[in-house]
Amino acid sequence: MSETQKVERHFDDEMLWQWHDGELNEREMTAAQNHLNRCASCRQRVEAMERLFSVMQKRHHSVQPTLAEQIQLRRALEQQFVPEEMPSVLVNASRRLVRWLAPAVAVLGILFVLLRDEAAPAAETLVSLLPETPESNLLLVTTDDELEQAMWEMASSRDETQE
Amino acid sequence: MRTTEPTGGDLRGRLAETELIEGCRAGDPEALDELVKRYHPAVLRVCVSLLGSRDVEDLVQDIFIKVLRRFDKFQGRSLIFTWLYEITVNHCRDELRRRQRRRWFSLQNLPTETVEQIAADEASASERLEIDELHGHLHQALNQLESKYRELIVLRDLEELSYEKIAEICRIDEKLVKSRLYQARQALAGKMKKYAEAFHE
Repeated sequence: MSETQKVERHFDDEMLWQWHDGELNEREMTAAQNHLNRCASCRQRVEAMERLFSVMQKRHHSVQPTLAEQIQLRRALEQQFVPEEMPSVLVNASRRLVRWLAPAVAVLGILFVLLRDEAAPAAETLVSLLPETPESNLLLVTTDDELEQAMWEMASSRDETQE
Repeated sequence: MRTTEPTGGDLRGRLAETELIEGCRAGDPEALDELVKRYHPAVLRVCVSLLGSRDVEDLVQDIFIKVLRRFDKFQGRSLIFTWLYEITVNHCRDELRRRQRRRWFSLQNLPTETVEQIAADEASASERLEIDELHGHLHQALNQLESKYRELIVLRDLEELSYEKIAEICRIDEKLVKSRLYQARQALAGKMKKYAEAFHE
């Protein structure tokens, strides 16, 4: 009895909103519906709220992506998969390789230059250790004249040994 | 105006969703097409209404890229659309905070005439969107609401999601959705009363 009286009293705004949202339980829904059928003032309040939000909804749903925006978004998403084609492990490994390979090449280059300068006298030392024969003189020549001289010496010494 | 759940709640939608998720993880062009076709409008709408400006395309793009990157972590416990709304709402929250900070800094450094000029420019920029006066007032009223209220109005009254879904998206209790939504609507109605009277004259 007291419950029917409560229903007959006007619904508060919060209840009306929940009815509007369809978030009341079944019993409350029926009670609210019955009340609204009879009560013009509550009905007016609901209608006023619904008008307000229908205007907002219309505007809200009129916002649509343009074709250009759709294409741009689609392209941006596709680009997310481009670097994925090369496994990131490999990408990182090759980056690491380049990072220490560059200084390593530089160091090797410097070593090569230094060793080459030192290698030249080393070769001379080796030659100087050889017994002085006409053949060994061939290794020490630096000019064409010396080469000719050395070859003559070699040829004449061979003639001597043959005789 | 009854609660209408967006598509995706039924079993068929769910099955199609698993395919969509798999496809998007693999970068399948068809799946990406479908993702954009299905969810671009909703994400754009929500961003525009939450931020109060149409210039949100970069933001929308960031949201979708975030979604793609997180697909691996997506458990499928919720539906894609709930998850997407959650990411969108959070992203807009961050963006609003960023804009507030930026505005605060720029206001500190500018002479007062320029500040007024900026305010006027902003008003005219937001008005460009409006179809008529009432739309403009509603838009302004919504923009003036605290963002936690605006989120609920957008999700419930504009996107028509259920309290349950909103609770999931905003990560708050369903009861809090109910009470906060009530406060949000009262606040909006309060702001609109002034405009509504002017409108009816």
